[in-house]
Amino acid sequence: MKRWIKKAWPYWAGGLLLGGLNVLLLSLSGQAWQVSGGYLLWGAGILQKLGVPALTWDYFEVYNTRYRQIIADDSVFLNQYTILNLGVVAGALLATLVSSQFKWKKVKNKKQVAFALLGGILMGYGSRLAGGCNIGGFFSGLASFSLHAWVFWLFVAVGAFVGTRLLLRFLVR
Amino acid sequence: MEIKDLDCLYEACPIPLIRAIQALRTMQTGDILVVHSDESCAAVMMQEWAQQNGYSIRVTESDVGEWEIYLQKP
Amino acid sequence: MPSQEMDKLLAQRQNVRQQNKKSQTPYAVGLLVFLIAVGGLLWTKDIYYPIFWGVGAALGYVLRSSRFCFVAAFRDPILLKNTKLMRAMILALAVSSTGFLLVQQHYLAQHPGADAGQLPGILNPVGLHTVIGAFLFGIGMVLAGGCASGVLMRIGEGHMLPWVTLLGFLIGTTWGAKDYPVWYHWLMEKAQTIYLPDVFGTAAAFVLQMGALAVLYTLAAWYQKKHSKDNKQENAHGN
Repeated sequence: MKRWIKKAWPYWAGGLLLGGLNVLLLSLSGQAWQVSGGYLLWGAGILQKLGVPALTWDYFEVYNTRYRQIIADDSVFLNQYTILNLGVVAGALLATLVSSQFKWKKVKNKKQVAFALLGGILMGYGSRLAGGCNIGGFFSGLASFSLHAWVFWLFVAVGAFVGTRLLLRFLVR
Repeated sequence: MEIKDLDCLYEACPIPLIRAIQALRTMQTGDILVVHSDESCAAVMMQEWAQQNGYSIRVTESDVGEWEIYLQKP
Repeated sequence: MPSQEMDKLLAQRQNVRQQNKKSQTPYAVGLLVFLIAVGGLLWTKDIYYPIFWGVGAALGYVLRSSRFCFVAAFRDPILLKNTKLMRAMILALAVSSTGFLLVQQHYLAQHPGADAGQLPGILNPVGLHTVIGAFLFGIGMVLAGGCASGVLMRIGEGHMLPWVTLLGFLIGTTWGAKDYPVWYHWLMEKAQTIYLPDVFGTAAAFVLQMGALAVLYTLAAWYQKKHSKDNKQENAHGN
């Protein structure tokens, strides 16, 4: 029993379940799995708190009106997108505790921090252009039969190739 | 037969595996490399890699959320 | 492959090490109770919130339990010539495509003539902005060692570093929203949302997409086999 709990599930089982859960989410809520939308609302909400009027930028008022209701309801920090993201964190934590493998893992050096920050910024900016991340833009997008997701697939692979070169060159001592 | 330990604690994926591959390159047939990692996916990745490249491998959870991965050069 | 030396070494070290690993099951039970309580609390705010909470938690549970990682799915075929995760992702795409199409068909039956942009799912305009965005995203995810979902999962595992990635992501995605009008007028204004069933017909689009996924799966399997030293592929997947 203990062994079984600690053992990693095979990748294919994970894949089948993730695909199935995404369908479940779409059919129950009408909303496919996405991550970066919640990040955007957090980021803009924090800026707003800091005194930058991010929530009234043209992006929200003209170009992407999907989040308008959430902004009008003043629920930028707690809404369907952010709850979904917090759920993922909570679920991962639960799985880690169930297998008794939770450990605080500290940051090792400044180089790690620099690359994590740079990588995050590149992903964030890219996700706004492409209209989503690996999840919303690609995983849910492809399942929605949208052509953009196939283009995303091709060029995220090209990006991963370049990223791998950079990683081997700079991040591995 | 030589035994070499490689400390990859607090290193994010895929650095532990890349460093293990680099270390194994400098080792002789029969030598054992012990990789220490706290990345939960590292052991799975290395098992995949070892199988694909004909290395024998053992994995043990050495502490809470820490793993030792033993690789022997064929 | 048998290796007595490794087994011996492992046993030696195991004996020296004190075996007092604490079980974290009590915390897990506590967390589960907390999750359910939060779900109930969310329910009082909006009946849809517990769905997002529950499915989100299930997704996180599966991601961590199967060590599923979208970055590795794209990266490992390049870095390690291993396509196992990529193939699992293709499987997931086949499952979700089928389900999504059914949901979309149901929606279309109720809302005849709905525009592609209104359909359930995520349909975005396609164009050069998709190319640039995906390319930047691909570089970033490998450097950071985790994509948007991986960051969430790794935070749940207790890693500190993904908090930094999260901060970077918030900066980048907010920055992108600020610059959006510039990109919009340059690239996106004329870009169209293309729903494949509108182009090929529903049945043909489904067959085409499944066919493409099947071809990619086969190619991926062939690629790994070509770059393998032994052929005993499909057994161990341990700790």
